[in-house]
Order: sequence, then C-alpha cells, then structure tokens
Amino acid sequence: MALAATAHIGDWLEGRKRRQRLALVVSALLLVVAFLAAAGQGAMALGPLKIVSILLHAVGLPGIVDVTPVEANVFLSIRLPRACLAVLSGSALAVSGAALQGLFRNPLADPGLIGVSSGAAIGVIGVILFASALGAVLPHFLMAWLVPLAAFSGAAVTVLLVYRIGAIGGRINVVTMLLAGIAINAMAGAAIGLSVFVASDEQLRDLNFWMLGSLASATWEAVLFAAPCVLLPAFAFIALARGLNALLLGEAEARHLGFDVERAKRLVLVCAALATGGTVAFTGIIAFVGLVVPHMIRLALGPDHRQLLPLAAMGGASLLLVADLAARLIVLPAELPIGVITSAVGGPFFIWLLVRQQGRGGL
Amino acid sequence: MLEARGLTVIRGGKTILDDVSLQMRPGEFLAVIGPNGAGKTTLISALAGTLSPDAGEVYLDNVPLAAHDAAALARRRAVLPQQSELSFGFDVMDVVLMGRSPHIGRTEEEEDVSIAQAALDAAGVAHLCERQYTTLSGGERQRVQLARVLAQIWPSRANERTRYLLLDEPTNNLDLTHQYHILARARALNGDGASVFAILHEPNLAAFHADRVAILDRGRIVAEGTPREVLTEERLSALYGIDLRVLEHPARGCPQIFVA
Repeated sequence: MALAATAHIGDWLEGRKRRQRLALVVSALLLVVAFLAAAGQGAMALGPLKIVSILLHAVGLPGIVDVTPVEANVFLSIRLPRACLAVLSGSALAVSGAALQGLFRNPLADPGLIGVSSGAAIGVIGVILFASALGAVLPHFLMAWLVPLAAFSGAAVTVLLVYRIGAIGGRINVVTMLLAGIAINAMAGAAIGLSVFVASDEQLRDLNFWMLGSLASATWEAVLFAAPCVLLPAFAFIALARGLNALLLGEAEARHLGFDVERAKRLVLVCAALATGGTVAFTGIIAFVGLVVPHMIRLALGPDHRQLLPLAAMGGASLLLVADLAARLIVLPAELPIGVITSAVGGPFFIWLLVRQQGRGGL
Repeated sequence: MLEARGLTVIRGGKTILDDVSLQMRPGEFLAVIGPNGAGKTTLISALAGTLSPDAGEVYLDNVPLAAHDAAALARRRAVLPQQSELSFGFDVMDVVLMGRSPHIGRTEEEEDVSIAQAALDAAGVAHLCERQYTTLSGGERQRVQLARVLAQIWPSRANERTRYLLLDEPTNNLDLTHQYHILARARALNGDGASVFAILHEPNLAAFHADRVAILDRGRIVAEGTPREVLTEERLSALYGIDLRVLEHPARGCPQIFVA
C-alpha cells in the first residue's frame, strides 16, 4: 500500500510540474503577443510582418515586406524603447511586489501601497524642483544620474522605514505596515502639492507625469539605465526563491532551516528599492501592478517563489504593455496616463482582496 | 551533545534566564516544565540560537552554536515552533519538502520526496499530502509542521550524527489523541539515537513521555532528574501554588499529578 501511495504521489507531482511548465510557456507567449501588439499598434499601425522587417533592416538583412523610413523611425525610436520600458517597469513592479510580499509575509505589500513608489517619487520631485539650483553646483554628467539616484534613495529609505515600523518584536504587523504606507503616500502627496504650488509651467507638466505615471518619456537611454536596475534584482530574487519560501514559515523557522535570514532580508529590501527606484525614475508612480500580478499567479499556481517570480516578471511585463497600449488608444490622438488605467483596474481588485481576506478571519 | 552552559538572559532590566545549564543527551527525551512566565520560551529560543544570551553559551559537540555552519546545523537540529504563522496556500507536500532545504545538493529530489512522504506518514497526516495548507485545522497544521521538522532531520547515510529535535509547547491546540501521538512520535526518535527537548505546559505529559524532567522557575532550573525524582507533591504544590497530589500511573508506573 505504501508503494501504491508513492506512485500516486509521483503522478501528482508530475502533473503539477506539467502545469507549471505550461504556465511558463503560456506566459511567455502572452508576453510576445502583448509586446508585438504594443509595439505595433497606435496612431500608426504596424503589423507583425512590418515589425520583423524593420528589425531585419536594422541589423542589415533584407526585410519580408516594404516599410517606409517614417514607419521604421516611429518603430525604432518611439515604439520599441517604449515597449522595452513597459517590459522593464512591469517586471520590476511585479517581482518587487512578489518579493516584498514574501518578506512581509502578506499579499498586500505592493510597492505602491506601502509607499515605496511614492518615496522614489519624492526623491525625483526634489530633483525636478531644485534642478536649476543643483545644476549650478554639480557637473553635467552627475545631473543625468541624479533622477535615478534620487528615486533609488527615496525608495530605499521608504522600504526600510516601512519595514522598521511594521516589524515589531520580530513579527510584522500588517496593519501598521499599511498605515505606514498611507502616511508615506500622504507625505508624498504633500510634497507634490507643495511643488505644484511653487512649480513653473514646465515643471508642472513634469510633476503631473509623476503623479499619474506614464511611459511617454521612454528613450533608449532610459531603457539602458533601467535594464540593469531591473535585471539584477530580478535574478537576485529568483536566486532567493527558496529562502523566500522558508521566510513564509516565519523568520525563526527560516533560520532553523539554515537560511541566512538577515542577508536575505537586506537583499530583498535593497533589490526592491533598486528595481522600483530604477523604473519609477522614468515612468512615475504606476500603482497596483505589484499587487495584482503576483496575486493572480498565486491563485492559479500557489505561492512557491520558484514559479511565482519568473511568472510575475513576465505577467507584469505583459500587463504593463497592454495597459500602455490602452492608454495610447482610448483617447487617440491624445494619451491617458498609464497610472489611471492600472489604478482603475487595481483599485477594485484590491477591495475584492480585502473583502476576501476579511472573510477568512481578517488580515 | 547539545548543551546550555550558564545561560543568562536579561531583557529590560529583568533577569529572564538566570545561569541555566542543561544537557541534551543522545537517545534521551528531556522535558522542561514550569509555570507561565518562568522563561520557557526564552530558554528554547536561546537553545535554538535565535536569541543571543547576555552570558553563557549553547554548545553543540563542544563547539559554540554560532560557530557551526548554518546548513550543517539545520541538517542535525530542527525546531518545532509553538504555532506556525504560514498563511500562504502551499500544498502540504511543499511545506514538508521545505524541511529538506538544508539537504539541497546532497540528496536526490526523489529521495527528498520519499522522505517527505515517510515524515507525513510518521506524523499521521499522509492523507493530507495534496491538500492546501491554509485549508487545514489548527491540529492538522501542527502535525504537518511536525512532519516538516521530522523530514529535516530524517536519518540517512548522509546524515548519521546525533540529531536534535526541539519542541516548543508542541501540544498547544491539540486534542488528547494528538497530544499523545505527537509526543510518542518524538519519543520514537530516541530509538535511533536522536535527542528530544520539549517545553511542556502539562506536567503529566512530561511525566508520561520524558526520560528526564527539569523544572524552570523564575528563570532558574530548580530541579532536574527522572520524573519520579523531580515531580514530588511538595515541590509541585509550591511551584504552582495549589495543593497537588502525585499518584502512580496504573499501567506505566510514572508519576501523575492531580489537584487535591
């Protein structure tokens, strides 16, 4: 009988692995489709064949169909960097969300909700407002780094602050954590309000962009800067997957299983700040991606970080590509801030999540 | 051997543990009892190495605990928490497989799965294997956690040295049957040389299962020895502040305690 049970468990585990592989393939396909759609659609529609032809031309090979120079230009210098930035920031927000939720042992720890994105934005607002004053004293090459650096510092300080406030006596108090996030978001609101008051017209436009989030300023420079800020943390998180699983048992339990918990905690906090800061610097605050994506994946495949993190990276990227496409198409030829779309979808989702958790005996 | 030498813990000016020395010997079940606030949880945290004492040290094979490689230590010593805060919907099998994390790269995945199954079986919860952890009752969760720590220190050719299991009030939230089973299962580990340490609330369970009992009172070990030596009417009545009688268990011969 014991033997039969073993074979049965083997089948069950095998079936689960098949489901996980299938999910990986489906997510990858979804990402490709979303990428082609986002890169192809807009005021000027470009089909997949045209996109492939432009790419072939770009590397010096003959294309499949004819493309005009304008089409090639729109694709290569506007659409493609924008789609790449969408992939990077979507992945960054989703994997940071997933990893922070593991660290906080709670599915509500979204970088936007707990104020990490706002913290990054506060840093950036400071730079926007004082750019002319800072430009007078700082060398030019430093100015280019200043916005991302300020975003990272703001995110890092916030995530540390929220963790310190939320973790009382080694246990993380979720209510305190969320309230700390509210406080930090309120402070960011005050900083933004104050800056609107003192800002010039041009600064005002920049600030508006920060509050609602947008991929409109995507450039290849932004993509090149954001790429390592997202990829390094993403791989670090995936390498930490087992440790994050163990952390869900509790910090002491993870330590008893031989994991270096302090190191894992520091890494997660720094990497989440790096990924969030590195993308918020270019996109502004895009809320709820880090909440919605990991949660959907947990519902479908369970909380194991070894699957959750790679899938969240792809899912977040797809979600942001689609949201950006919607932002560009809904009010053509103008465009909506992407944060409007993610918040419109994410807000109700968050309420549903709260109600559901309440039904299961509270937070 | 795992031993505490002169552990002293002071928190907020209050001495919580005062010069506590204890030895966990191979093949032996050691239970610590004591009234609420005696320092039992602090003692097990210090023994497990999650709390650093203000004086004294915990040694494993005469080497301070902190000097051991964390993963190597985890292969030999497991700790069952009072209650687990796991609130994410892992499958039960995955929770138990987490116990195998310190063995990654040393055992095959297939072996880990069969050990996890054997551990689930030993904890009496083999039937829950495919269930989601968050759908289980408190008692079922505690037994799955027991399976996890059993899997962690499961004996194998690669894991031959003396193993240690620390239990922090493992019978909380359990009914009579499972109180008995969880301790009997821990007791069975002694058979192949492992050492078990348990903090217990209920002196009768300590008397029934343990080889040795230590009484912790206001941070000090006030008595230590076999249940028969330690669990006397005068000592227990003074300890708990009510009049107690100690009778002999009709079948086992161990002492059992009753309110007079």
